[in-house]
Amino acid sequence: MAIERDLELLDDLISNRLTGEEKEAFEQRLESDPTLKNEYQLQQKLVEGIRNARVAELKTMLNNTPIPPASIGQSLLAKVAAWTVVSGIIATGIYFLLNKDQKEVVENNNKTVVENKVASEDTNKTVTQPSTTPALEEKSAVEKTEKKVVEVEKSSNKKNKKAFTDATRKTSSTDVAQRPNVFDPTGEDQSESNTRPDQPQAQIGTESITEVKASKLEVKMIDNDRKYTFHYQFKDGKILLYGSFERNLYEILEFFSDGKRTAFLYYKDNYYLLNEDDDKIKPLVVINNPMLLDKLKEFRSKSK
Amino acid sequence: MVYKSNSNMDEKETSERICKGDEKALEFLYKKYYRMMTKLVISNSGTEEEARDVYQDALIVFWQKARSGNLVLTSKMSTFIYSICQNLWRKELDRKKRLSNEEKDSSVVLDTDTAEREKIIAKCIDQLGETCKKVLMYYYFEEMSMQDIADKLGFANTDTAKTKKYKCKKKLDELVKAQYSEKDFLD
Repeated sequence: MAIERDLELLDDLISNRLTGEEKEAFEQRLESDPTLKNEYQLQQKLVEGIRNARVAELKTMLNNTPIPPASIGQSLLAKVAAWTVVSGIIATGIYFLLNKDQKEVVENNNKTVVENKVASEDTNKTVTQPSTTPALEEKSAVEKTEKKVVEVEKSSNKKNKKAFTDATRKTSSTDVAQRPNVFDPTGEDQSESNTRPDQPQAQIGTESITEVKASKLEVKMIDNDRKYTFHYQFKDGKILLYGSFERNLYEILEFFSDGKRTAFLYYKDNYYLLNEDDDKIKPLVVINNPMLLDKLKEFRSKSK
Repeated sequence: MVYKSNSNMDEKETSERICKGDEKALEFLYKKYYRMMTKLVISNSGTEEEARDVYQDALIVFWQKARSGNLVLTSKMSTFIYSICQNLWRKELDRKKRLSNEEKDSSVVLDTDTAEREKIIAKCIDQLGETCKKVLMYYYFEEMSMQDIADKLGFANTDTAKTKKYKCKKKLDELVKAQYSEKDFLD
């Protein structure tokens, strides 16, 4: 049985607390004393067990430590991908926002035009109504006009046609002044007798003064602009198309009326109005008016 | 406890906290370098589990050195831990290679004996009280001084710590000897 002092020395040896000389002297004693050596081996295993228990404890603690997932922002590629996605979402959002605004403006314009027509028609009616017209007929006419206004709100195309028909019966100077100078091929289906001579839309219907032909306008593509990806611009007599249009076929359709040109872009089965009032870069807005679309399709097939 | 990241101050702060035995700092370090360290093993024919084991072992070596006052950092902490991981994984690969060349039967017998002994001691350690376990672990694993143990565990002085350690060790000794004969522990 080892004595207390020897056990202390054993403990110091196992826990690395003996100095060089002490360690050497005690190790020599261990070699010469088998009982002490046996005790040393036992104590060594106990301490090893204590150390293992501590390692297990620390490992359990580490295993219970939640590891954060690999951060997206850690790799450059992931960062670039994230920025691309965000930019794409923003660009799409802006495009649809602008598209919506443009549509609303066009629809509002159509509505205003037709409503103006109806209003002026009503005024004219009062003026030109023959004195022999029964009161009932007048009432009926007013009702019809009101009905037309309601219809306009329901379908701007239908109202346009109706308004044009009515408008050709009476001439109103205020109507002409209020009417925006925008080409409308839908006027073409009106008969010559229904045509208003002061309206470009009406004149287009007469083949002698309206000319539809494939464009001779010079078109330039700009497909590397980061800001403008589906836009156009009239500059120095050329049309600049911003975006990757060359991947698909496109056509420029020109309509001439009273020496004024109205151009449209046909691209991927859609038509876009090319407004050359100024040389600003404008987004391409798809035309949704079915009647106008029918006319454009008709003209396009003719010009082929 | 709040840790900032990626600055020399943080590295210094973490190192100081680890030296003082702050286990939260060890957890912080573990999370911080987990991907970097495990990648070393995984990209060298190791599994995710092996990578985690090696990294944990490396971190424990680092912890032990820091706690015992034997840590002399001449490079960044991450570089130091990385080199420990490299050494441990190299050893593990050598062990695997050796094992595949040796007769497996004898190795199994040896491993079983060792595992049995470890199991006996672990069972006896579990029977000790929490303070006893802490005193013995701090003394033998962390190699803390009696003064540090007294401070850490709130003992009145070093003598109290010394006495506590003596009694706990004796108790463990008795538990082990009471259940198993001395020869069971001799190779």
